[in-house]
Amino acid sequence: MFLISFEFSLFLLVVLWLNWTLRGKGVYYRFFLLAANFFFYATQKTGLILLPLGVGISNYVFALLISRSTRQGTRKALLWIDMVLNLGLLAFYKYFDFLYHCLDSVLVPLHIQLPPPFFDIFFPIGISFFTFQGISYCIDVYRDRDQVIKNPVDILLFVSFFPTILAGPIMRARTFIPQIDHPEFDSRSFQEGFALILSGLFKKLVISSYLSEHIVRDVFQAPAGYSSPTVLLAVFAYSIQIYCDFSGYSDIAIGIAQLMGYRLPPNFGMPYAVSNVQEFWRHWHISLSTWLRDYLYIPLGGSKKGKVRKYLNLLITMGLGGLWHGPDSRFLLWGLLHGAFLALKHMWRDLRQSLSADKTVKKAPWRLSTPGLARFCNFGQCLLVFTLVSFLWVFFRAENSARAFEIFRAIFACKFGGAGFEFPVLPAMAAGLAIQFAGPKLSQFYTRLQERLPLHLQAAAAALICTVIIRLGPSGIPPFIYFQF
Amino acid sequence: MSTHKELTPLRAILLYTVAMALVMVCEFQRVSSWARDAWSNITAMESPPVFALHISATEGAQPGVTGKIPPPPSVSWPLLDPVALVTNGYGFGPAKNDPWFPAAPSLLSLKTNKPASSNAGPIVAHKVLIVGDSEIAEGFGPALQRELDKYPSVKVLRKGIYSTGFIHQENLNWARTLRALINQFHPDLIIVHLGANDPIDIVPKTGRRMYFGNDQWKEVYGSRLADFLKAVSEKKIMTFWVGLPIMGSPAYCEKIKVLNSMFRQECDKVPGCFYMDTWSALTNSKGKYASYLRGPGGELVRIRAKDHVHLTGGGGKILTTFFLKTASRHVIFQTVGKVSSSN
Repeated sequence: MFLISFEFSLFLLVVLWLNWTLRGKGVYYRFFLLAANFFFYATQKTGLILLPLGVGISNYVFALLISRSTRQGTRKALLWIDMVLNLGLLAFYKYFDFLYHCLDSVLVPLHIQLPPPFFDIFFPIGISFFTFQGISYCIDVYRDRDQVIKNPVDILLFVSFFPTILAGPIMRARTFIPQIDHPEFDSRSFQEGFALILSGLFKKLVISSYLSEHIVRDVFQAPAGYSSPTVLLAVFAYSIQIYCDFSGYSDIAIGIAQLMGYRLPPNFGMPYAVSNVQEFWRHWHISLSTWLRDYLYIPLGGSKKGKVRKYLNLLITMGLGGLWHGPDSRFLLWGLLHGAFLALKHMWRDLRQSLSADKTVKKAPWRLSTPGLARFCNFGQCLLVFTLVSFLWVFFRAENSARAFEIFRAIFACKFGGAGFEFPVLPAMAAGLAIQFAGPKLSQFYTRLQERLPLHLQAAAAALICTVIIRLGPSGIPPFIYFQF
Repeated sequence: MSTHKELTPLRAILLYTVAMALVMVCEFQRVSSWARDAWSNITAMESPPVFALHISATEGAQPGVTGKIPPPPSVSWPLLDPVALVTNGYGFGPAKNDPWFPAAPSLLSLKTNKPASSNAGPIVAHKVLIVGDSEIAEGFGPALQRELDKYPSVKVLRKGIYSTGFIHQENLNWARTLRALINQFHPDLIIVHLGANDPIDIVPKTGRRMYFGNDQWKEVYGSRLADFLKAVSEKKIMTFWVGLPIMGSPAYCEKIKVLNSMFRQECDKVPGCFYMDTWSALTNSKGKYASYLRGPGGELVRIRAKDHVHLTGGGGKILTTFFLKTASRHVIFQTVGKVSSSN
């Protein structure tokens, strides 16, 4: 079931009604929600519900064993087994083809040809997200045994919560599970949820789909036929498309959760209004970047084991973060380049700190005293970071690394012949950029306005906005980009 | 302005329901189309239709077969799809000495009633319009465009629109779209690759449902194809209709054969329109469906997506090579300063 479909809107209506009827009724509520979650996931393919079920049960059992075990060695071994199980499952579904190709390419020079794989593995949407949630729960229990959850249904609900199961945000058990027993209805939160859904629909249907359809897809697939300015514009357009697509999905997921009375962590801030790469990662896919920080970067030693080790940890974390998206050299390259820029940012900060600690060195000459000039420089920095991030997205979007370099060649060839772009792409891009600033304010405005209107006008206003968005969107909607991860 | 009553759960659900109902009223056409499809799927599941297959003998099937659509292969383990196990073979395509160039079939169908003008010498193409569904948006379309972009004097316009065909005319009317594209771009060559979404019943707004493949369905579908090709014949533009290749599911394959034979029939009626049979372009050495083939260097190449319908980049490349080799008898892509054939 696609999140943006008539059947989903009907499904959500039934779920909302039962959610608020059964909320606070313990076992009944839990089983209703569990059934809704599994029904939703089973609409992909019925047998797939075994996956969140298996991930939930295995993590529940291992977390319980970890919490009950008194010996540190046993606890550690149990955690490792749990992680191998989760990551093994993820690797099987996500990296099997890649590993098979690797094995084949090793054997081909030896004149041994493997038969093609005997089966095609159906990629279960969301597996990367719910396995990461399972792992985070077990690690949390390993770190603090008081965080263990006694009720297995709660863990299953946490792993399979339908608004987030397909593409996050990646939740933490300690923030989600306590909300299951909160029966209070919050009117403001409901209205905000509605606003978030409308915002997500606008981002996905209007901006992301338009940019994908009218410039990004065609240019990224065959850059040689386009002029250099068009290819460059397509690179920036993809930056905006992926922001609108993924943050649009996150808005819808968070909004649906809010309609049901759950508060989820934010997944996006204003990623294209930041002045350095570190800030970018504080605003982009926040739930993944904090996951990587808490469960990979810090266990690797974080910044506690010296500067060189810190830079190396950043590279490793971002490289693995890149590979999380898929087994492809372009994802690895994308992650490593982000890691390298983060390491450079840290190096620069370390250098500045050591310089300012040295009393013999005067105040840094680049520090600007005029507020206007400082603001201008900050704007320049933002532009630079946006350009840098956009160029790195090329590796993310291109079909393979070779095509990514083909795109860069097309940009730097300075070719002015070739196909151009349609003018409406520019206002669409501007709207996509502007929505990160205006989005939260518009949502607030909508919420306040709705609170002042009678119910029938509230419904009319919501329906009007929704219809306008649908009319502005294309007839066929491409799937969310992050569903492939 | 005074604040109205705060929402209660009941009022909130009412708000959602009324808003949704209003949207559905405003989007009545889409909702009714969706509801019709959903309902026809439910009823189709209850009673599988009987239809007659009239497949051309040149496509390797028995002519005039009548029967039920064979059921899709059973899936033993729900998380793995074993179709590739059933149909895969490994090795090269049919032409053993040239794995990336399966034997090119004759462009003109054997029993053609095409006018003599169709067999005239090759034309020089400067503006190429490629139209189709998701197969043109991904896989084959981009691979073909990349090859054509290598000719500096050739301009390419590619329009691949997902989930389209000749069944749901209310969503997208391809005949109208093609006319608009021709008026906008003025191509001298059109390449069409459509139909993968069409092996379904036609459910009219009023009247009885037309089961896929029956006479009534063929009549309606044929008239839509004729209308589409009329846009081409009106402007006398050379057109290649690239037929659909073999598919993973045997049941789907049978339906695709029906469509291919209709495309061939309609193309034969239009001067300057050539149907290109690509059925065997992506088969393995045994002539069966393959998800993987081995490339010239012996490397394993995935040629079909996991749905066993769409082409991957590798598959698109093979079909492109096949197309260019076959089309080179009828069209020349001119480079600056010299004339060369497309391959």
